[in-house]
Amino acid sequence: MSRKSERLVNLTIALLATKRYLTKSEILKSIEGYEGSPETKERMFERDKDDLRGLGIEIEVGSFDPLFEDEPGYRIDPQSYRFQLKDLDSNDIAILSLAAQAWRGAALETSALSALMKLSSIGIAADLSELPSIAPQVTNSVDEIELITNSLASRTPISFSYRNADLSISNRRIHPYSTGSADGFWYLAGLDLDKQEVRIFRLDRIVGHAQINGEQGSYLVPDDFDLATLMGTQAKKNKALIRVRRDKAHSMRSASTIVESDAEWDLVEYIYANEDQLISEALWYRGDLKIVEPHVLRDRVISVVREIGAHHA
Amino acid sequence: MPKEISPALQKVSRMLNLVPYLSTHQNIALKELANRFDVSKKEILEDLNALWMCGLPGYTPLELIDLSFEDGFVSISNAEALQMPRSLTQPELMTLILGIGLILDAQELDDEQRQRINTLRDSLVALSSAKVSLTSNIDSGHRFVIKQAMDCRKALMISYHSPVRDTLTQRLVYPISLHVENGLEYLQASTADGVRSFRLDRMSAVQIADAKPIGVADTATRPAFRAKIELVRSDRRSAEAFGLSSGSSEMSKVFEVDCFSEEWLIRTVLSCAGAVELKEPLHLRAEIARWGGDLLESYAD
Repeated sequence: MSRKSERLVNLTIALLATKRYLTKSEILKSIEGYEGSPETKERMFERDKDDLRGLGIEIEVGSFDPLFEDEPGYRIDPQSYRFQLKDLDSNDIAILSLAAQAWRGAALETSALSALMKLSSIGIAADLSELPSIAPQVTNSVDEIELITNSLASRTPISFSYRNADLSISNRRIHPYSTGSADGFWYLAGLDLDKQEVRIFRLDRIVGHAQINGEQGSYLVPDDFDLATLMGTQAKKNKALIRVRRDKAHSMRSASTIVESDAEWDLVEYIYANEDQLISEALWYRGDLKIVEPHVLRDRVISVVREIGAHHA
Repeated sequence: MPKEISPALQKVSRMLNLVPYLSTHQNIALKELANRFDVSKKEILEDLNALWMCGLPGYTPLELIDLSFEDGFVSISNAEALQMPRSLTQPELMTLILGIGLILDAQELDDEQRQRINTLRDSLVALSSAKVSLTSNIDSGHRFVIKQAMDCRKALMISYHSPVRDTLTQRLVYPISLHVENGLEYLQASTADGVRSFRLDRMSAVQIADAKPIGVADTATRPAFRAKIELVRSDRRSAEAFGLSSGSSEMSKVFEVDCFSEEWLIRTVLSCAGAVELKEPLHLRAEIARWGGDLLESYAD
């Protein structure tokens, strides 16, 4: 194992240091660690290239001599190997380090740690003095997030079992588009291959583990795709008229405007996302909140309350 | 690349990261180096010994990386080719973007800082091949006042909305610490009832209080009791409202939960809109039936 690591490091050094492309035979002859029959050496080299690419190192393939159609040459462009962001100052380093440290003990810890090491290699000390003292911490991370970020990075399809709204479990095949967290939950957006629609999934509703289900780079994410916009369009857009007892139902009040008030009640206009949600909230506040319009919803509340009464009679 | 990175490749990655790190941290203690890379001292020694064998083709002392260990302190030289900090990989970029989102959400920042962090995030997003985003509903408006109170060791008067009792109460609290949990900001503070956590987004007003502590009789909590609940309808939202995990493969129709507040239980059963039936305790069943009756009456006119 140690031999292999050394060979890969030596290969990286040689490909980085060379000014021109190195041919395969030059590489196999001069770089330490390539041993055995010519076929074995070639196989080793092919696997090494894949391994380095797997570590995010770009190996360029080019022609050694443009005048002759001979064997291809290889090199690593130092520009692509080098840390991408230029002119970072101590404040930027502090922000980026804080961002990485948010993952301490959470799912993306491995990536966070190696990013942190790269940041500190720049050799600029982080200046935390201008940053707020509270450090964010990911505490609601789910294991699946690592597989999902990896599949997003390489555009690899995944599949998982998902708990549906009616509690049934179905298998989903997804082209992941984006991930993010909101309201304390992690979400994944992607194309559902069976439904042929972009859907949003909550990661804590995945039953068991998600799995890789296809080849790298097998799909494209639409250029205009944006998770925040998609979640926004699913958010509140319907209007209801509600009677709310004065000084009650505080959390609903922040999202409503008062139309008129009397001594006991306020009539408010409330913007809601979906009917079930509104009915559920109306029941939570019991007699302190009454739906006036739309009538259908008012009627649904009444029939639901009858149902609850029957269950608990 | 989603497949697991093998230990051998992890070692390669660490070796490649070690060179630029050592170049800017010459004469670092071996133990600290191991801590930074989150591996054992033995492992970091193996990495360093392997690096010693690496260099440019020819592999004479002139071409090899030169490491020196003196009294447990490590230095590096002759490693020009690998000396520059390595580029961030796609998973690393995403990790940082998601982390920056958390900072933007949770922190009290002035405009200049916010601008700066946004610029930094934009440059990371531009490098990233995948789209990640983070949205949140955290309102950090009260953080500044709370921090002030903590700095001058003053009590705070907060108007706190308790959704369970649906009341807005004035409470005198002594701030202990602020923290972010599951994307929400909390204040931990001692109160007349002991140490309690308060969600910042449920505070409608916060001010520094000069008053001496008063005995705030606010007993929200009763001794815990168990409730038995049946899912009448297969409804994920109702199951989750009682804390059942949708990610578990087994989900039983009838289950028991520990409750701390009767009011919470009644409201939660009602808000499940007929999808659940409370089996026990019996006196709360009767309460729910009574609330149902009251509700029907109020809708009758």
